[in-house]
Amino acid sequence: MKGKLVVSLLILSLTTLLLALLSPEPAETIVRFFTGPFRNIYAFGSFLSSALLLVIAGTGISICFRGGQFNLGGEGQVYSGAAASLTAALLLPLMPGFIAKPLLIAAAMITGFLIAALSGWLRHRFSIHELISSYLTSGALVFFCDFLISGPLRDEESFLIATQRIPGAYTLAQLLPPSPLHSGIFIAAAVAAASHIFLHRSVWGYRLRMFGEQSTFARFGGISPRTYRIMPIGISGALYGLAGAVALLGIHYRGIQGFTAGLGWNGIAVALIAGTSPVMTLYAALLVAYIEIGISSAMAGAAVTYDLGLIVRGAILIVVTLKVLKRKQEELL
Amino acid sequence: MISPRSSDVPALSCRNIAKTYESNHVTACRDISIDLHAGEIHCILGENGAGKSTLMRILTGDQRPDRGSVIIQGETASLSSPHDALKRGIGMIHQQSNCIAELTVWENIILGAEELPLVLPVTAQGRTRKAVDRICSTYGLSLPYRKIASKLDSSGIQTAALVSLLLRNVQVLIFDEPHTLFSGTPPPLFTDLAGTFAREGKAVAVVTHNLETAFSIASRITVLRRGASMGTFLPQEIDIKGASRLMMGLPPQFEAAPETRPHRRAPSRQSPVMTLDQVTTEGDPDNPSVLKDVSFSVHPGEILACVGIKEHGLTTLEGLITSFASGRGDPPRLAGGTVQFDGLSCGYPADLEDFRKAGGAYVPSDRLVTGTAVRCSVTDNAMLHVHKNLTGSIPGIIARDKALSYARKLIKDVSIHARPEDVMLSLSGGNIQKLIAARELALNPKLLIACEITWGLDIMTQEFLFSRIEELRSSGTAVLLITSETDIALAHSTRTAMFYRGRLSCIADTSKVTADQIGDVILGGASI
Repeated sequence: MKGKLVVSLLILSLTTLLLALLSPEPAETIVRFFTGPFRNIYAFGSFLSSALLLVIAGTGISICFRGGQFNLGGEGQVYSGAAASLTAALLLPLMPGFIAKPLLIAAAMITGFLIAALSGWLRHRFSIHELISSYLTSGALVFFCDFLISGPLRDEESFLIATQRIPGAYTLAQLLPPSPLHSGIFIAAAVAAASHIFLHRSVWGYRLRMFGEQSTFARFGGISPRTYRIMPIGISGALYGLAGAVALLGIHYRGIQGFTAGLGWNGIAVALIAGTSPVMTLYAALLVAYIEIGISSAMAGAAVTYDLGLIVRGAILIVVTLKVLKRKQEELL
Repeated sequence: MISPRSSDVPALSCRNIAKTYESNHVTACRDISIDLHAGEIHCILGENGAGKSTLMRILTGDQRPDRGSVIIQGETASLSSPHDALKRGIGMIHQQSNCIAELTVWENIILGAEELPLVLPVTAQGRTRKAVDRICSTYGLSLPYRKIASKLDSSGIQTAALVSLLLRNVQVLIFDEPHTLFSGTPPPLFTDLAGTFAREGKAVAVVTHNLETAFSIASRITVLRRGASMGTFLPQEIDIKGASRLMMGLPPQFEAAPETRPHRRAPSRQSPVMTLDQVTTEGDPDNPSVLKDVSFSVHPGEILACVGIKEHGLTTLEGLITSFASGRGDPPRLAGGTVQFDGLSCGYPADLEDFRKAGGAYVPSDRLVTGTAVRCSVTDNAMLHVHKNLTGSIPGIIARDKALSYARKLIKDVSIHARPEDVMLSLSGGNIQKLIAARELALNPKLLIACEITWGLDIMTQEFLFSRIEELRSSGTAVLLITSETDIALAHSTRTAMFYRGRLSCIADTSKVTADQIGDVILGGASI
């Protein structure tokens, strides 16, 4: 807990420092950054809706970590999940919302699962490290999804590189208009609770933890290496896909090129900050969302460029991975 | 035992070195003192795990001792790194490659010393090259300088390491399992090189488990066992057999047969639980660890001990019967013969789960990686085999109270001080082993395979574990004890099966054999 606080403070002060150094109007920018999420209903709703996506994505990565695996393909998996959902929404015949919504969400989760599980299987079958294969598949998929949105699915009328809107019945209910906060928050809460029960109470969660902690011990106990090389990363892929679907159905209502960008990396940042506890995942998601919203608020108000957001995001990843690297190093020594 | 040969100050010595690894509670050195004199070849003998490598790492600054001191030329030194040791003239030639695989041999030789920067001016490189050439011609060595280090064979690697130490004018040379031949035309013998170094006044230490090599060159011999020195001897004071007895923990001289041991029941006439019939495993028959034509049965109500040197087939036997390899590799495969356990054909590719379903339980020799997940809780470790039966009213969800009470039961079974939520690593090595044993014994097996179950444990813990195994045996369990500790077999088994170079040399009623007889069989292949 103390460690988390130190990391959080480190991240916040680093962000402040970067803003102060890079902004032409430091005072104005920093005030805007810190008050960003609370300036109005819209900002506050954005803050929560961005946090809930991070809860979903981060929870998946936490499970993946507990299973002793690493999934660097989040960007591609979120985008592909969203694209699968989008394609189904646009191409399938019109359905009532209560049928369509679960169907679209399932399409996204299955897509994410299959992409990530492929990396797990490659690891099991050919000893290709999932870190590399997930990253590379993701890279290719991002271009494929870009192509879908800018090519076959593109709405020719629009000025944006975007598709048509999905039918209104398919969208998640607004909770705090005019802000983007939507009923996906309940999905996020369910994911957090279910993952806790899965990991710490279920038979499969036990096996996953044992396999991640010490695979030889797990094999000694008869836990199948194939299943548990595929399951942890597969679950993280499914939840990335879910995050993509929720972003589509709850916030954007249509495909825009690159509309889920960043969610994959931020999911990893959340999981790294949170460590192992699901409660901490909520906290870490709020922290990362706070920074994201703070940055966009600073960008909107002051003369700060878009690139600064990327710089800060990179800095956060460096800080949180430093922590992990230090632990790895201690393990090795 | 003798005092040092001469009264002069040893080039390198250590006093009362003790070292326990925090990560796994293994005590590698208990209390070792050793002197290396200029001009001597000092062979350090010991089995795997005797503490040789740790001691050498401490002497070369790679590890710090928990207690004790390292003394260089009479002055207590605190070595911070191998580099530090090198600057004081102490260098080690490692068994495995210590060089950077991607660099050339030449780059590896000149790497790592400030006086020889990697980016040398051409003239300095030329000078160094001349010095290296001189060293090579003096000792008859040769090296392919431009070759990439990863392309070298093991003798080439050791030669390169040796040359780079000689270039730095090292006065204490430590060899860890040296290669017989070094690179050169003709290739110089290690024994000749060692003699040359000693005559030049260097102190040479050779760590090995090859007794022939050791006895052919040593001026003095130190035997290590379980992290303690069993004594330092002149070659005329001890012979190969005596040294190997010390390594195995047997008394160096013949002893009278101890008749105080309790007489044990002869094996029951019931049909065997497990039968090995003419078992041969895949691999080169000259390799001592490959099993050759091994046949025996384990009966209900007996403890059959398989004894020998680990590398003489015991490790293979463990892997074969349980179909489990603790490392990355596959378990050993059957090349011929059969392993029958309760109608189940064992051996790769059958698996450990089938073995358990047929009533088998297995205490692995590798307790910290295979037997436990050390960073998990006692409960997590306790419920490995039974977790699927601990579910409550909701399918697939483990009932916490059931899991906790199961862990408490095991803790109580072996009366250790631990709570279910404690992390395994916070327990002592003995308590970890007790808990592993409790977990396996609780399965109430028909057959228990217990491998090196007493390794590193104190007498109290050993006795305790065997009292539990004895209970199980008397209720009809067949116990196969695989151990490299002869005294354990003598004290606790019904019958003893003795292995030598992968063959089962003989099986005898334990009450009818002595430590001496066992020693003769497992060290020299004698028959009883």
